[in-house]
Parts: sequence; structure tokens; C-alpha cells
Amino acid sequence: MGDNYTLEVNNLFKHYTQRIKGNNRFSTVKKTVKAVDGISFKLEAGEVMGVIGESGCGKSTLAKLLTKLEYPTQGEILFNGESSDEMIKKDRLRYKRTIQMVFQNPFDTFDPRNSIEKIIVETLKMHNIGKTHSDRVSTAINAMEKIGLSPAGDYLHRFPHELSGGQLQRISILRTMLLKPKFLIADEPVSMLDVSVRADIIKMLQDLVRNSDTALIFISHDINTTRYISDKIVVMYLGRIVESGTTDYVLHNPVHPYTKTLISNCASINMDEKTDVIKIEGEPPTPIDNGPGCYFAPRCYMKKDICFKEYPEQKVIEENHFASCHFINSN
Amino acid sequence: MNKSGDFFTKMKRMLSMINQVRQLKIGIILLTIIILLALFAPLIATHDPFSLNDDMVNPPSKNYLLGTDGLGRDIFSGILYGARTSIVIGVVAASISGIVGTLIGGISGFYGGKIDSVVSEIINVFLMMPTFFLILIIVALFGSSMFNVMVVIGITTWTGNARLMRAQALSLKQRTFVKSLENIGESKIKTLIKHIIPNGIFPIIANTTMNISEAILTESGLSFLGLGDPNVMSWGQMVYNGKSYLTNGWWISTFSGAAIVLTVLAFYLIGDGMNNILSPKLNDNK
Repeated sequence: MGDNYTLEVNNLFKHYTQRIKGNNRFSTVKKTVKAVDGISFKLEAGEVMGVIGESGCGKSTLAKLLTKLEYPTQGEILFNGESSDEMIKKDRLRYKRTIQMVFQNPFDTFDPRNSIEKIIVETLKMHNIGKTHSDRVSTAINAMEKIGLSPAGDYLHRFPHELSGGQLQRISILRTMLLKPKFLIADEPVSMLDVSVRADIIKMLQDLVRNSDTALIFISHDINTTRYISDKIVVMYLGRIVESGTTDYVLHNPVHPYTKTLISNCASINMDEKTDVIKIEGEPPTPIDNGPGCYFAPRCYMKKDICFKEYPEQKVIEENHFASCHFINSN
Repeated sequence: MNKSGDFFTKMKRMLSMINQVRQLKIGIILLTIIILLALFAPLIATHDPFSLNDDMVNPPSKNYLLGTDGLGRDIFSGILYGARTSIVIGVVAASISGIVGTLIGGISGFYGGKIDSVVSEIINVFLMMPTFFLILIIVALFGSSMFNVMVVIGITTWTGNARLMRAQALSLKQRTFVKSLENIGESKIKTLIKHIIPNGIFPIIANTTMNISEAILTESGLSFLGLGDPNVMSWGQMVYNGKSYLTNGWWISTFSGAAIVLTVLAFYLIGDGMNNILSPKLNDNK
């Protein structure tokens, strides 16, 4: 636990090329969808980073890039200074044990034909955890009892379709945590669950992460949840980070117009709280051929000529608080 | 305890499902009768199907239930023994086609990319080929033993299964559980064999059952053209033998032909019934 693991992401790009029919019958026009467009951040052991943004801003692509379900067009991911590409070449399973992911849809996370026992035991077997079959089963039972799936024996022989979303998501988290990953990515882990079990899942994630000193990347639409769980927050728009910093700093003093919009539109339980909702038009466009200006400019309420000409540089607002906008006075 | 209980409830569910789909029910009953007849052929048969005797082209009578053919062989016994040939050829040929198709289609769909485009082209080439004539040529070249016929039918008809499996693999690999397996560290080949194929096999099973009937027809066709295995009794051969006696001995071709029709029908009904059960669109009670 003492070892300080860091995850460093440098200028990560993921571009998908699309072929679209041109004017001519035989010509095709290549278009590039910039799903992730130059992202850099750093994460230390035990930190919880929230990633928020609208649909289609590249949050999930980022998760896939980090877990190597997709390969980046450019840029590198470093674990403790070690390149992830080399790690995965040397020992694929070790890489998988370093960084794990919890998926959004718990109902489809497991092979519908396998029982819970098989799902967990096979995972352990694959990673050479435990020596015998009964060893692994008892590991599974212990872990399941710990997260409140008891009596675990009842659940072991069930199939995924016989469990509820909350139970499945717990098992999904449990399976990843059995591998003791240094980093865990949770891609909207509660968005498909009933509101009633969301808190439990979040609590469980938080406990597990704290107990094992795992760093968590929490991807979500939901600012409130993210705020509750995360130390740092990253706001993404069309594949770029527009604002990042310590959760409290960012959410209390948002500087980027996009962050302000998101926060002002966030529902609050406190009816008396006065918020001026900032309205912006439209949905985030598909990230094809955007720029040269600020990506947010077409929808921004503060836009001026300069916004359409060049992309604003990242500016430091205070310690650990960065944003990219032309109208920020950096200190 | 738990497992055996599971087994019984599963059997019960299966039985109730079979009862709900009429085609399946009829098909299974028919097939069971045919298989029983084929299994107990030596007990049921009234004569040795190969033994010749002097009662040539005898109409159906007490002694010869379905008459005799031009060489005095008993048709009824011939049909019983022929059932063995037809079912074995059908099942083995369709299984070969199913296994080859599943593997090739699975690899093609799951790995994608260049492998997929190459394999897809190969599938297209095989689809373009006039299968029956290909089988004719191969049998003519390499002889017409039963083994040859089975293998040849198997390796010329896998394309349908391959296309089905490819489509299954293509859609399954987008599912979260496949991504989650990759994320957890499962290798690609294991994912394919342990998860993609078992999850996508159902349409192949239904299709394979239908392929059995097609294989039986193909074998009969080959036998009818005189290219069947002369060492075994087969329905196609019986129809072929009866051809020249059609004017004065209708029973020879008719009964053996009817046997082919019934068996093909049985497999076809089962295949169709399974399709009905397994296709999610038609399946209301899940």
C-alpha cells in the first residue's frame, strides 16, 4: 500500500476515420471523428477523479483507451513512468491487474450462460489467484459476504438474469477488486440502476477504493454524485478537457463558461437555493472537423470573435485548477 | 442436489416449450418413430434387405408388406435398413457442415478486419458454386463410399452456417460482456470458443437440423443418379431401382420416396420449430 503509483496521461488522442460518400458517385470523403482530442492528466494512488461532460464528449472512449480496449491514435499512458504499451506487451494480465474497469450496464456485463460462481472463479483462475478450485470458491464467498451479498452460497449458483441490477453491479465491482487493481475506472456505474440502490453502490465503491488505496476514475453525467465521491474533477467537452481541478474549487468557482452552464443546470434538492440557469442551445455537435477556434464557441454565451480563431490555451487559475478559455485572467 | 433439481426443472421447461410449438412436437414424434424403426431394423424387418428371391416385382401383400423390387428384394425391410444410412449420412454431413461453418464464421466475425474480408470472400465463392455438381464431380472422381459422400456434403454446405455464425459473432462482440471479458484479461481465442460460440450457437443448431434433411435429399439425389454407395441400402437407390418398374410396380419408388419425404419433413419441422423457439422476436414467453 505504501507504494505510490501514478497514472500519467500525456496528450492522448483517439481519432476515428469515417468514410462518407462524396458528391461524386465514386468519391469518398474521409472525415475524422475526434473522440478524444489531446487529453493530459495525472492521477496519484488513492485519488478519486471525476470526469463529467455531456453525452458524446469522449468520456467512455477515454475509459476504453485507458483499459486498452481501444488503442490511441497518439499519445501515451504511463504507469509509474512505465509505458502502458510495453507493459501490455510484456505481461498482458499484469496490465489488466493494474487497471480495471466497471461497466455501465450491469445486466450485460456477464456472459448470460455462466453462473456467478463460474464468472468469479474463472477470473481468479485466469490471474492465478488461489491454488485450488475450492480455494477460489471460498475467496469468492468471503468477498461476496463482505459486500452484503449473503448468504453468498445462494448467489453462487444463480445466473446473471436471476439477479437485480444492483446485485450484478456489486458483483461486477467485486470481480474487478478481487484483482486488486491500482486503478479502477467506473464508467457511469450507477446510471442504469434504480435510484434506491445507487447510494449503496457508490458507498461500496468508495469503501473498496479507500481500503485498498486504489485510484478511481469516476465517469458520470451526474455532477452531484461526482461531487460526492471525487477529490478532483475534470470537465470534458468534445474530447478536450475544458476545466479541471479540485472538486470543491471547480464546482464552487467554475470559470469556464461550459462548466458554469453544467453546474447551473444541475438540479438541486434545496428549493430555496437561487440559481440562474444558463441556457445554451443545441446538443454537442459530433466532433468532426471542429476548430480552429474554441470547440465550445458555437454554443457559448460569452463568445466573441477571438473564440472562433484560436483554441484558448490552458490557464492556471489557482493551484490545481486549470481551464481553457480566452476570458480568464490567469494568475 | 441443487444441480439435479435444476436439471429436472430444465427438462420440464423444455417439455412445455416443445408442447407449445406444434411443428416441433410433430417433428420430434416423427423422428423418434423413424429412429426407433432404424435402430430395431433387424427385429422388425421381415426379410434380409439384400437377399434376392424369385418373387420379383410383387405387389404389397401379407408376405411382402410393401412389395418387392425388380430383383425380388423386400421393400419394407429395405426401407428400414435404408433409414440407418439416411440418418447417419444426414446427421454426420450436417454436423461436419455445422462445425466447419461455426468455426470459420466465428473466427471471421469475431476477429474482423482483414481475416473477415478474406473469409467472407471465400464464403461468397463457395456460395456461388453449384454445390450439387461439385459433389457429383468429387464423388465421380474419388468414388462413392458412404464416407466420401458424407464429407463432401459436409464441406460443400457449411457456408450457410458460417454466415449465420459470422453475423452472430459480429453482434455478440459488441456486447458489454465481451468487452468486460477482454477487460478482465480473457484471451481472444478463449473468448471466441467459450463465450461467443456458445452464445451464438442456437440459430446454427436450428439450421443444422434443417441441413440434415437437405443432406438426406442430396444423398438420395446422388443415389438416384447411381452415385450412391452400392454397399449400403439407401432410399435414393431404391427409388432409382424402382424407376424402371414404375409402370408395373409403382410401390417400389413410391414407398421409398415417401420414406425420404417423411424423414426430411421430420427434420425440417424440428428445425423450424427450434427456429421459432430460439428467435427472440417470436418468443413471447421469456
